[in-house]
Amino acid sequence: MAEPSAPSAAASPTSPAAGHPGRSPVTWLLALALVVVFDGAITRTSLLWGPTAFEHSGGVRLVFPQTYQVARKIYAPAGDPDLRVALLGNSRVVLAVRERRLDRAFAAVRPDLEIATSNLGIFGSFLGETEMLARHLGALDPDVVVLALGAPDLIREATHPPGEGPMDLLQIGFRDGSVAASGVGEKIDRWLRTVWPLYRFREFAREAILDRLLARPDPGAPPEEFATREELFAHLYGDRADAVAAAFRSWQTQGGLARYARYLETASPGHLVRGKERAQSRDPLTRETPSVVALDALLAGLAAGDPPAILVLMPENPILAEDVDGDFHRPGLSARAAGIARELAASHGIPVVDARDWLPADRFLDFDHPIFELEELERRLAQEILNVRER
Amino acid sequence: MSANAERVLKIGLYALLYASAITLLVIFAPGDPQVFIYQEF
Repeated sequence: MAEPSAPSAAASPTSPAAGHPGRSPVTWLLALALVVVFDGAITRTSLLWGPTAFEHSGGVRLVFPQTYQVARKIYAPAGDPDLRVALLGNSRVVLAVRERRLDRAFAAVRPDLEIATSNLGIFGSFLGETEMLARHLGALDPDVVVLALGAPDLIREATHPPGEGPMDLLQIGFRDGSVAASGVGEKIDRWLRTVWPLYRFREFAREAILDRLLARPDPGAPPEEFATREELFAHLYGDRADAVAAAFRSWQTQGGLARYARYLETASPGHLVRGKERAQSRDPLTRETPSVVALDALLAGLAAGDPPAILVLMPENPILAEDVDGDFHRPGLSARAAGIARELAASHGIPVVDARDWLPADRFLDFDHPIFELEELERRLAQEILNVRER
Repeated sequence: MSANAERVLKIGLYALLYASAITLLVIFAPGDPQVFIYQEF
């Protein structure tokens, strides 16, 4: 093979005369191309989105794997249904809606359509964080978006402090969310997560890769459904399950708010404390309340998108009607919150489904969370969602 | 191996090294937000 002539070699960036190969622009361009290839090989494959052990690790980092699972549902959705329904919200919707159960309720109404639910709820999400998550919906391309809201969600801050919220991992967008970025570093982090998939999912990728390299034992996914309330209590409370079940039975047979509070004291003392704190809170609920401003931004974003959106006012525990002294809740707050939510939804043309009185008290785990045998909720929710879809 | 082929190979190896380093750095760099410790709901 003939050697290249001197003039053409001098003009070529790959020529010996072009300097050290490690500093050549061609090298860096090729490296960039390889970074894109590596990125795709990780963020678009089962290396990142396949089954992992860390997502079932439980413990105090519950929200980390939950955020990962939501990202998987958005970026690596299973199946190709005729209709995909995305649910947004916090623990209310995580605990209340089991995807397979709601899918069965859809099938009962429309057996001719394959309808799949993607429950994108994340524990502890405040409305500003749900707004951030909604920015990812384009990747899922749902046919209907359902936002689940509870009255107490409107008297919180819009987001957690930096570093503490579930959405630190999935912040994207070139504009700030409901709360301005705390500094240039946060903005750059958000911009990088927006344009660079591997950077966006790097914390998840690290755990997924370590799972596979270290062959960590997988404790397995928790059950989707529980045959009895005792099974549910055993899953949630372990050694305390019998005491919790006894306290629950005592309330069920004899009734009364005081007995319900004793049940909660046994099951979730922290929840009871937070209920009391919320009851004593005098934070105003107006259109200027940070969470209300965040809800407005969230609804505006959903209204601007293609798929129809629905705002669901989630079931409220009717036991709170017995709390006339306001020891565990703020009397009147629910009606005020529902009024504001309705006004905002109407201003964006988003229909509202008011499910606040759909369930009896024994279908709740505590003051906030519906969780057990929710056929009534699933049947009516499925019908309402299809009504909006078919308008 | 010609000088040009050797240079092309070196460029490829350097590019692979840089791309691998960037990818590993992004994934394994310190900085893991605790992400909302939530023990009870």
